Amino acid sequence: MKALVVTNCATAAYTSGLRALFPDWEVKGAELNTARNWVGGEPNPSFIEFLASTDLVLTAMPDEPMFAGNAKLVVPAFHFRAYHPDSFHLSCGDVAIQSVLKSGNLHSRIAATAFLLGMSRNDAIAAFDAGTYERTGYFAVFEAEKTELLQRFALHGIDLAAAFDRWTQTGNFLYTYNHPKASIFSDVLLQALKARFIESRQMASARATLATVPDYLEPSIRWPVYPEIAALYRFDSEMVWRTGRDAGSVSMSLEDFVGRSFEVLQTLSDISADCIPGFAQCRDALQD
Amino acid sequence: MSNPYASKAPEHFWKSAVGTHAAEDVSPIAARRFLLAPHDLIATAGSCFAQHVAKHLKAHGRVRFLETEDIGPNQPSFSALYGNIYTMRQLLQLVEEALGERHPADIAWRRPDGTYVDALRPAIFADGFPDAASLHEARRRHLAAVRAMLSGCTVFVFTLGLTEIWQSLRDGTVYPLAPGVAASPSNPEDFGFRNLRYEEVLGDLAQFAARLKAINPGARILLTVSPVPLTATYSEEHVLVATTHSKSILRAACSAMTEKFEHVYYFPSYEIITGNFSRGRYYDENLRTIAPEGVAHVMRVFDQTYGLTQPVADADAPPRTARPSRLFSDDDADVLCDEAEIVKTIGF
Repeated sequence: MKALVVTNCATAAYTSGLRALFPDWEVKGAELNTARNWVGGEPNPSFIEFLASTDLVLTAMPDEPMFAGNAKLVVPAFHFRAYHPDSFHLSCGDVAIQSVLKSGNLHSRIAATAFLLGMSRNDAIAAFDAGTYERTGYFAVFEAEKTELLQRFALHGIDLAAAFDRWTQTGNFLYTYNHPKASIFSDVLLQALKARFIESRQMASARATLATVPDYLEPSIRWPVYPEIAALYRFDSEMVWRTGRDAGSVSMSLEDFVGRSFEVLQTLSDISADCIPGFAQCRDALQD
Repeated sequence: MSNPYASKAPEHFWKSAVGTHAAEDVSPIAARRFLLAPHDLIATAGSCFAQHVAKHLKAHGRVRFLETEDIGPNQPSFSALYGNIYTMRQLLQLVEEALGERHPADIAWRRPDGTYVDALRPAIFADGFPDAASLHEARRRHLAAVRAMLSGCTVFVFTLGLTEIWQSLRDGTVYPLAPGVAASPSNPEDFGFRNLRYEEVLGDLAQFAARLKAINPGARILLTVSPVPLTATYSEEHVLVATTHSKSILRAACSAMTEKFEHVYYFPSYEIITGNFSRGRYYDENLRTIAPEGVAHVMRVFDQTYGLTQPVADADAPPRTARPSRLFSDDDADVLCDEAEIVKTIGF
């Protein structure tokens, strides 16, 4: 059996997971943009040949034209924003604005809104408190986010309800809102495969097998769960951001993070409220 | 000691689940179920009642119905042109034939008008075939379509009809109709009647489940039992008794299968139609075929069971649940990370 994984940053986890679970399968993986390039701008014959002959494509993007003729196992993209409600991917127009974390374009809504409102760095730093979080609505998103996550996967036959309850009992299970830890990808993969490729009685051993899969997102960036938010969900957290390994795994305090964010934002000529989802609520919270 | 039933939910009690409901509100949603996804490819086969399921799924819009052959407007509505398949043994033999493991000896039966009929699907081609060669060529194409159906589906729905079979005494081939009904073989003495026992039915089901898993490891099997009584029985029993005998075996075998195989599920269309709560009104005047009202009830519960009750317009979009605010971008689900540390490829 041949299987091809083409999805987002979960590609490596799912590819390695399938390889571990089914040693007799031939499993390969390519992140979506790479795959698109390989069937378009820079054709990769090896990829194209494997795509044509694979028995199964695991993907979050089943409508991609390249998969038109393939049997698909749809595993939606993972994100859960209740622990990191302040972070968002900032783009102005079509341009992604690089994050102070040196990689990707993840930014703080509070910092960006404070900047647009003309607040000082110190006032912006001081705004990171429970009052601002409460008024912006950061404490009120958990249930809606949980429901949305479970529905998004259930729509593709993947029941994460029991797994989700386990995750929340272990504290923070995310590095960023869309970068879960390896064990989360394992649970998602197991549930996607359950009763189709794996039977219930095999789940425990399969979970143990997947424990050997590397945590591919661990070296990447970290966004803290703000301590007041973590306390609400009964775990501890520190206000520390971290760049990815390739940027030196540099840790940043709140003061450092906001200072660097302002430096980035000052370089933008066309940043506006439209670039910031939830700007109005955050503005009202900061001006209260 | 406390009453052990005190912990059971309302659907476990006749009064709260059936007795106090209007007939159309009885919803025996299966405890063991799965959710159908927009990209599932559903194939169907089985007895005549299975065509209702196929027609419903084709028209649904929330799921994709798999057709591997062009089905004409007057041809039975299934995923390929096999027509009614009343028994699992017949389906199992079709799978074996499609995989090149079985070669039925006698399928080209001549009709009084001189044309030939494919005895394994006698109702598919009304005009028949002018000669045996064209019949075999059509069957070769059909078997390729069956292979594509088996390997391409993600859910295979099969409706079990009965236990009575007519088979070749030479090679065991099971025919959907008795010799002489739609056409006649040249050697009618080579055919015989059998009523399959429970162990045989269960064995056939188990074999099929294993075969499909080998061909298509990700496919689920959804079993139903046709609520349509036997048109006639060749057993010595009264047709009512023979019907109960057949359906009981099939129904019990379905439960045994769901206990034995994780990828096998049962949907209670039989219970919905035959349940006494409808006071018989789910049957047509002939007390045999199913009235539209009954079919609609079955499909309503089917949709509830397998998560097909969301509006069609929402089917391909991630559900948008109410949020306390518009804090987040709808594009968050589409973010492709470009962090430097992300492993982009494995194996290439």
